[in-house]
Amino acid sequence: MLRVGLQAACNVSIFRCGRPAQPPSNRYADALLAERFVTAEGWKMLNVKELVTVGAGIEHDQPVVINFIPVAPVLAEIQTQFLTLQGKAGQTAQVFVDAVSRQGGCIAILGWTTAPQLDVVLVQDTRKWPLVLTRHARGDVADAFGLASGGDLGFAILCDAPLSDGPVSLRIALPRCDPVQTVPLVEKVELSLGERGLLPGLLSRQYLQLRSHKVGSLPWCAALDLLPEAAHAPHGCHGFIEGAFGAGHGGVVYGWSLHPEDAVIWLEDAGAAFFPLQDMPRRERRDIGEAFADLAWCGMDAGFIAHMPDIGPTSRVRLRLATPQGVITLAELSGFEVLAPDPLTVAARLFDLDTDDDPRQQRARRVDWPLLAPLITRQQADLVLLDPVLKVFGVPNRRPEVSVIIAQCGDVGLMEHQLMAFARDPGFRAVTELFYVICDPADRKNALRIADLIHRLFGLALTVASTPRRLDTSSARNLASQNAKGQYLLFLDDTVLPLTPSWLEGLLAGFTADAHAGAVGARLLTPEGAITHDGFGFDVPSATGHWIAKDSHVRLPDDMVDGATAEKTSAIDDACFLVCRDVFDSLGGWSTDYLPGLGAGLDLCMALQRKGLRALVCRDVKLIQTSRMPARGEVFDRKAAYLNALRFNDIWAADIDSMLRGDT
Amino acid sequence: MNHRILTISHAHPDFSLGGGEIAAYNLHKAYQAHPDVEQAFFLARHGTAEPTTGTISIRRRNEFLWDQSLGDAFTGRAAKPEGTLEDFANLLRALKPTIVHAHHYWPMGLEYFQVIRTHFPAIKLVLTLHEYLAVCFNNGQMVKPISNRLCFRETPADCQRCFPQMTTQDFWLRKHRYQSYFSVIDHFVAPSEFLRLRYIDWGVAPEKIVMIENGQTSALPLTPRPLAEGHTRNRFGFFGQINPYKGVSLLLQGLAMLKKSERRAIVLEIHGANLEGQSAEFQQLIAELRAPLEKEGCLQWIGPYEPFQMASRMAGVDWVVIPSIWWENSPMVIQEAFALGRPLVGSDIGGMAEKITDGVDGVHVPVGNARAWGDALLRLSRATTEWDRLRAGISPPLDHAGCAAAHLKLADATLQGKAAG
Repeated sequence: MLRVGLQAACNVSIFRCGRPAQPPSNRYADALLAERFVTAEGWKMLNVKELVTVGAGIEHDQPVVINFIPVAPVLAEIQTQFLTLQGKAGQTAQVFVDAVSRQGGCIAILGWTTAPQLDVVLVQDTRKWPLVLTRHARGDVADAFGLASGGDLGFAILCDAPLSDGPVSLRIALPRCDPVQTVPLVEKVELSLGERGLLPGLLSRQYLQLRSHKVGSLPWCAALDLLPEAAHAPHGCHGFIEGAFGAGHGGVVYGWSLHPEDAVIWLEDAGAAFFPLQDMPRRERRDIGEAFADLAWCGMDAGFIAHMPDIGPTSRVRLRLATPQGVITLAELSGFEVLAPDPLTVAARLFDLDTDDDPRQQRARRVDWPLLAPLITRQQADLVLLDPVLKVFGVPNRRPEVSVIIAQCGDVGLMEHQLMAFARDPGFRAVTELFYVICDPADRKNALRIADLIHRLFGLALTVASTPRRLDTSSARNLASQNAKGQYLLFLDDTVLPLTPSWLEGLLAGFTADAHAGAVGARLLTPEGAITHDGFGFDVPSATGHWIAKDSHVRLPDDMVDGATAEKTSAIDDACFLVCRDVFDSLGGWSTDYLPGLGAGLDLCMALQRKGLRALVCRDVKLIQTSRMPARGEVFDRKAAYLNALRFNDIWAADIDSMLRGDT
Repeated sequence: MNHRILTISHAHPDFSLGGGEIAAYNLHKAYQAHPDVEQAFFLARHGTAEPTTGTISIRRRNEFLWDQSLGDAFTGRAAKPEGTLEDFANLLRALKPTIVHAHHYWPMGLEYFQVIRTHFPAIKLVLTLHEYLAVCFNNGQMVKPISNRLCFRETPADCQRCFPQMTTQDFWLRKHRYQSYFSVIDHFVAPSEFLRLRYIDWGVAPEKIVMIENGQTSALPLTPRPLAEGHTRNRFGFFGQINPYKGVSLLLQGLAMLKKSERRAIVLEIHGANLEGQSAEFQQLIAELRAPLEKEGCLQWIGPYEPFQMASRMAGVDWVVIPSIWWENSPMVIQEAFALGRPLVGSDIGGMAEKITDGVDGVHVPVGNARAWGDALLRLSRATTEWDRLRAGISPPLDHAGCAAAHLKLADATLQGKAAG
């Protein structure tokens, strides 16, 4: 068969046998006869029938002589030197092809021409294929030719025809002029991203391909690699990374972005990990909406927050957006705020970034806990190695029945009130040893002063344990329990005050009343006599969708709610928690997986339930629970409680279901 | 019984002339003179250094000064606990008292009660209450700050409204602390029934608190002020501190409300001290009220006096007025006036209403009512026969010896009860 490209370059004449033949007179015809017609790759000798299809009126089976008559500079070079075309009026124009490459089923050709208009056809074999030619600026060409402007000197050709793998050529002509066919174009494997940027049609196809894959997947990444950097963000797309923080490895990045709902937009780190904004908890940013009120999507939740596990203090984070014109970096941030590796400090920073109710659970699981959990684990690993300093005041009971353990983590001034109450209860003093664990090293001096004063004033023996590190309540309690000798451990909050003697006997009676008692608590009251704790039940409020512990009788007047001894309850507050030493040890002590707050107590109660033991509340044992000014504010406490509730549910939801069905 | 009694006072009359410290010191002297008392000692708080050292020094034989103060006025915490735990305890070891009779608790801190109870459990501990400091953080006045309205009940929530910068819990804890330390006191003494009831309302067990009036120096009643022909009992005397709670401004306002012709028949003498220690606003108010009345001659601003001058100054007046706008406890001036034979005109609340019997030994005037005070002074200034009747109605107050005897009787009963128990 005849290649279309050759056909475009020569006139082909076909003669009958015996007529004088004109030999090919140029090298193109030579090549055709010598190589391609006879032997070369896929080329074959034409029979007459085939020639008839391309020639004129040849009879079958007659030998023919083919005479090639060149009519133009045949098969012009265009990739190593520029091709000069001549117009009908004698004007000339230059054409050059910079790059030819096949991209995703298309062939893309980039070049330049000084001609304002150019007729171009893509030729493979003998077939001509439609193409799309776009023009773009080429300042370099303009400079080289001394032209005033580089406007539209460049061209980009994209053809998505079903081409074979064979070579292609171009037929190029100035308007209303004879075309020139080029030699087969030399292709290269890849285009640079800059070259891709000159091919809008190709980018559109690649953008669509990108959209069809999950952000971060391998095919998505492959498609992304083929998109160049876009020069400008599309209209209405804005974004900003307001900050990032972390405490070591991994961090949280936050900011805002406005974009169409279906935009492909993501955060990426230097290690090419991708975090689509669509998967992130978003939050309302009224300020942003107001600033861009003219945008159709100004009402979207512009705020975003993401946990990026591999970023570090010097990492670069980019907010990127894919468009049909390429990829644009909307915002970039280098480095992050390094926080102390203290879960509470980091939690406080996290909680400063508010999230609406709806995505709170999503955020907790995708952002908060992923950042906090490793910190908690790391901190606990350090804390268990601590060797507390014990300061003993007086002579403690040698064989205490109950070790009373108080994590001193709030107002140290309350210590005096609590100690006065203990000191005035001979029954308490007879059976207990008393431990205070100072959670905040800054409180140590003051706490020791009060302990010394009370010991000297009242003759009360006590031990104060401290470490150089800040302890959470669970760690503090676990630390003290290692030094406790009692058969029972009574964990009291530093806010809990007994007002009358014999309350401890009442709690201990819970264990004798019920052989399956695992933990015994008391009714806790405000100073005014309203119930603050009377045992927990579990409930699933529709708003949260997970189990939460509900205080029984909370805020009701004590004297309006009957109290009996040792009643079974789903769980008790850890503010007053009496447990057998052996059982406590077998459960591994207080869980340290939670943020300080409601969590560890419920966890321990569920662990008891799993062992077939139950929680009891002695409603006739009444202790005052003073309120504590939240060290980090009420909002912090509320958010920490929410995080703890989620974690609690992740661990215990099935057990609670089972317990409430009565399986246990 | 041979008691060894240590009287503890919040101040020493050598340096301060408040009613409480005078009562305490006089009682100490009466203890010294009592045959059942082997030895009596007097320990007075006296701040001599800044910061507080907590140390105890000798004032004179059997009298000591304690350099102690409050580290925290709200909770009643001692500034120098070491002074309580060491110096005070050492003094007790040395003096070996069988009874500690404390007057006041405020400036020494509450901890000294517990030192006595823990380390000297045999000592009988009696506390005489001279005001309402445990009950009310507003200087123990039971009067609302700023408005000076009377306070009729104490609860943490009510107190918090008076001090918005504090929390309800702060007040609950304050009370908890006071009550905890008060729980080791064997007996409370209230110089007035009114105060006794207030402390019972606050939480002191009724069986632990008795009323014993402060003792007075025995004296013969003064003769009536000689009257010239046609003159009346129109001279009124105010004796005491001049501060916003004592009602002097009210008295002056009452006078100012009278017609000038009515004022001509009245003479009011002010024998008062400490005006210079009051706020500038209060001093200004007094100055503005005082000037025109002094010019007219119905007001005579006499000024401070020493205790020994009391009789001579009281001799020059017919009536003693006590127009306080706070409850008072058992104001010394009432007993002093009675001892010297002068009827009283007092506000109709609290310790004044209790100690002055309206129509018997004095007259009640509606508290805080300036016009009523003006009218009362005018009416009494014209009624000589009523003065005679009221003077005749005065009963001699309890003297120091009687007061000491009453206290010892209480102590003996308590000790016997303890021994029996």
